[in-house]
Amino acid sequence: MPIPTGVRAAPDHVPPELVRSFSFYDDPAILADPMRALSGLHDGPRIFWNTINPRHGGSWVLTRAADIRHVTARPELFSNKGQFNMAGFIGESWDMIPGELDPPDLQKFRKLVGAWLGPPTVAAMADQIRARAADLIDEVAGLGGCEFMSAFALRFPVSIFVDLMGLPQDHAPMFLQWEHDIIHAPNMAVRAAAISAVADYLRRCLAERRRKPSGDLFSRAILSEVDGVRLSDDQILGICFMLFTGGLDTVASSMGFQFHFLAEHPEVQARLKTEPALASRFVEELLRANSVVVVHRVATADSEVGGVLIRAGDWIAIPTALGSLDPEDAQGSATVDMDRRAVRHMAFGVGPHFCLGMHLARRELVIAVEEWSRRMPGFRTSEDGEVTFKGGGVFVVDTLPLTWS
Amino acid sequence: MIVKVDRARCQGHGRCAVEAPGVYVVDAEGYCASDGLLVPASREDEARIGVEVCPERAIRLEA
Repeated sequence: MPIPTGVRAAPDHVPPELVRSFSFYDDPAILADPMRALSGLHDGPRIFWNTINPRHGGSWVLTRAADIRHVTARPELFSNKGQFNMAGFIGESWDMIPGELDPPDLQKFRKLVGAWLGPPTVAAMADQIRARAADLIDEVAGLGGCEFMSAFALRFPVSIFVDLMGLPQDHAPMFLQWEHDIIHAPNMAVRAAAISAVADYLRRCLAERRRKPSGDLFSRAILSEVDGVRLSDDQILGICFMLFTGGLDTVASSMGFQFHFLAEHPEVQARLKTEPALASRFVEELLRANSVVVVHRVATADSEVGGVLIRAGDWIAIPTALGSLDPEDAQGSATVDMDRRAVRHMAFGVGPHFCLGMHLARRELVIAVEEWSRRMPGFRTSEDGEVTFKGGGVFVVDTLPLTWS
Repeated sequence: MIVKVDRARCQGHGRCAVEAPGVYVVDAEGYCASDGLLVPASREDEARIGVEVCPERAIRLEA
């Protein structure tokens, strides 16, 4: 995500005792162990003002599941407009759809896009998703080890995104590079160039499909209507950009945390081999223990959250991990328990903006675990490298060296 | 035991129907469609699992 500005003083209405400067990007605790660092925030105030929010120049941070439910359930008071600000970063003005829409457009576009990403679509793609996973695993199986993020976790969801969009697979490495630049490039010009490159690419595809329709998602978007009106180019771009940024680093990173756990828990690997049906339970429990996304809202009016006055115009950061791991919640334990009887979490968000891609994401994550369990010997982290993490709008496993014999 | 679904809170995650399929069903858009359902005694524990997995806390059970 773009990082336009740095630290700013807290506004006057923020009580001084609630001001913190905690970088979700590069605090040493985040870089050492993001989930542990986030859990540590539960020991502080239930809501605090963070002077470090590069995207929005300072923001509130919600630490409790109850407050996260309160804010996300009230889109009229806490808007999504501009939360990603991809267009603004390159001097344009389209919204990411539906992630930057408010009611009533939100519901209309969610209904449309949700139908494209629902269980029937995912079921129809399942064999192909499994084949993509198998191909990538076959590439590394004979090597005795790999850096898991670059060899598998990043490439796998990109290949599925490319399939979903009806694009050629040999364009996948290009998307991978753009994704990396948008999220991680330290140079802002490089970031902006990558956002522009993706927007230009998607616009070119759209123009081609307008001339020559096919059966893919672009063509469905072209033929779709909201309120009886066909979608504009900017609206279709906003939808496709949302699919691109929503489904790549989030899935890759969740997979990174899950395979890091597996690498350090041979007993869980063994169990997944003998009980393959446990894969979806494993994925759900690991999503609970490692919810990687931070979402944002901007207050449209003054109101109180957790006993604190929020002023209109204030940005609010919502690390979903803090909701999933809230010790005030019955399930808030950081301990992974494969036999937890019911798993509840906020990894896909809550409220009317919860993740529309969750069915696809779950399927990709479960298939990754199933195929590695089925095709590979036991694996562990390798001494020939280091497990590293990065922070930001999504907490990611940056490198995960694995070895097997 | 009767299932009570707060339709204003339910956002259509569909977790109830996945984790407790013997009790909960969802409509075509994924929203919980089990409001008012009378739960047989043999399925009361499964009904509780549905309550526990709901990320929105939209389900409760009435005696």
